[in-house]
Amino acid sequence: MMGRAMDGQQPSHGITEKEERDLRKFTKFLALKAIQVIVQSRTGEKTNTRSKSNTDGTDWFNLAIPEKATVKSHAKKLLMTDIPRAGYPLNVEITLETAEGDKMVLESWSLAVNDTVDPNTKVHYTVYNRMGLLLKSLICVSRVTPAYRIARRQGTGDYRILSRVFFGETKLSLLGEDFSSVQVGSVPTPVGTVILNVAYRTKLTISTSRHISRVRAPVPLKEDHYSTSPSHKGPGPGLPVGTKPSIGIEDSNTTLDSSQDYIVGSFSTSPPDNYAFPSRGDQATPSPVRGRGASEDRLTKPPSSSTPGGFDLPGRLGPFASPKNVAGSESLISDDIPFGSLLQEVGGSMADKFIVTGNEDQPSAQEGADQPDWTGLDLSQHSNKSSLPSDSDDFVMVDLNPAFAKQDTSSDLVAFCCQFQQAPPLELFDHQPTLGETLSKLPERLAQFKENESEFDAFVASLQRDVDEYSD
Amino acid sequence: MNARSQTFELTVEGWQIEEVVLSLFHTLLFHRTTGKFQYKQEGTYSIGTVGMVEQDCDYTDFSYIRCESAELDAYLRKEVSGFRDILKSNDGLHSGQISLEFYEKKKNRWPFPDESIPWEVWNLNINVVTLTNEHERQAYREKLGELLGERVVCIVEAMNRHDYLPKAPNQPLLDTVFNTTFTDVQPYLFKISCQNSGPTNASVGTAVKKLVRDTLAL
Repeated sequence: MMGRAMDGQQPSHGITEKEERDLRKFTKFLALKAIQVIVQSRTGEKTNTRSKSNTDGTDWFNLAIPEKATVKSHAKKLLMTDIPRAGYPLNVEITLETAEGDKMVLESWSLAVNDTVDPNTKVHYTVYNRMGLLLKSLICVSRVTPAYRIARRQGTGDYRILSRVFFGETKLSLLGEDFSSVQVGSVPTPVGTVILNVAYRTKLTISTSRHISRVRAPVPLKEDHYSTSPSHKGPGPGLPVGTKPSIGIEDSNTTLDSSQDYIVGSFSTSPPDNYAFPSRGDQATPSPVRGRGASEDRLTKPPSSSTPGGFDLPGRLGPFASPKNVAGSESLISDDIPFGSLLQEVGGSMADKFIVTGNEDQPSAQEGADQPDWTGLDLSQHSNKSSLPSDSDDFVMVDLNPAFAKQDTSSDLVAFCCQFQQAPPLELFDHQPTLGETLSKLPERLAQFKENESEFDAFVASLQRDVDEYSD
Repeated sequence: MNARSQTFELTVEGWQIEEVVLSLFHTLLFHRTTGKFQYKQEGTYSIGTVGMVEQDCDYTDFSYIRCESAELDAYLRKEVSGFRDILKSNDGLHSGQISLEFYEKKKNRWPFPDESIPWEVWNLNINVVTLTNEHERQAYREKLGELLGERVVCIVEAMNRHDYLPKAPNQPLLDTVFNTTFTDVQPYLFKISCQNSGPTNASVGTAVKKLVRDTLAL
């Protein structure tokens, strides 16, 4: 058995101690390179390396396999103490994670060793070359399984691919029913046969309660449309590659419950998605990988209208719209009056609603969850008075998409356009006297008009004279 | 020596011929190519590094890996485009066979020419069809990608049976096993041949052809 043979100091199976040591080294580097090949093939990026006729001897197996530093460091750490041996395979698990946090294991690569020995195989020539051939086969096969196509289509922000590397039993049950498996290749050695297998999922559909509820929604709303809090950022360019704490390689048999044991194979290149899911509100810090528990919570809990800002509420309100039939509110103006809701706004907060203001009072956290955050168009006062009765929910929100601007409502260009598309604030509304002030000033104004009475009479008389002249 | 052979059959549209053949032949050659041998002193040499290029097909949902060697790629493309032209130029002929044969040379004494001994032959039977509409075309584009994936798995399985491979010879005889004409990589000696008639048993057919050709050469 390879593990015993390699751990022991005495030569066994008819090979020298040096051969045994070298075989262990070859196996270790085979594992290191295999991890690199698999993980990199799922980043969605194409591989391109140069052939070199003159080599400096640094390319193992005479193959130019690019190395990602993060993957390398964790793989090395994992293989520092152990290498694949009989009953103790090395696994690379490829998982798809949706933007909502649902996970699905797509494939599981396994580098294992069995007890079948080939005592006549030369370690320094045959085994080394065959390991190189095995790596070439791995490179080719990694481009034909379904996960490859999925990985190449990353970048829309809908999902991303995660990789996990661990020693231990291969969890084929995670691949669902009717999974397929392919033996990539095998390398017989004097102490055991190294075997590389891949098992991959064939049923690639996720069905969750979320999708059902989304179908029920009368208007399809993009879940991240109402971006509010930067703490809910999803995968996007705002998440620099390599700076996320989601990379981890475990040296023990772990489960999916840990969100820290994945190598993030790729980040989406879509604009930053600011999630406004209240179910994630308990996440204090941004994390590109959410735990399964949170995901399941969202799956199992049906969306409720009591949930502030629930993304799949059938009657979600658009901007400028107030809740229909607000309980406990009284209509100030009869519904029979045409455009009554507009008149309500005059009596209420219409002036505030369209005034472009500076940094005024921000809505509270609760209101922030209920109302969209209009960057650049501060509607904070409107938010504060949103409980006023109104039938204005027939407003339709139209996205503002300025030319040459990014699809991001928080960009400067969008803010600029928003500001200059609105009417300028009237000074009249800056200071409106109260009724008491108006009444107190009334006698003074009347006295002033009395004093100027002769001027007014003269003006009227002049007008009268003009009319008489024209009539003549 | 009997050469082992394997035959694949694929149905494609006209514009898919080239990339389908290239995807399989490049996959084969990726496995059958080593780094360049650089001889230093008596009996010692170093082996270069084989780079790789991930190639996307234009008309098929498929990607494959090939050796990073512009020379090898150009050579292969030239041979395969010849096969494509034959298939396209002949009216009514909608099938053909292209073969990739790995061989080694056995040097004979003068005046006898060197003998080519094939040790692995891959035949690809191509049937050309014309699909009626874009919907079918799109569906088959995906289907063909899956079929090519299955063929790659077949190739990989064959490669890892560790059947006979010519041994690396000494420097003077290097070109009896490897194609040393490429500057960046060193594939095993190979040749590509095509037939525009119905498929035949390539190993026997090529052997007979070779016999006739060698006889005439004498």
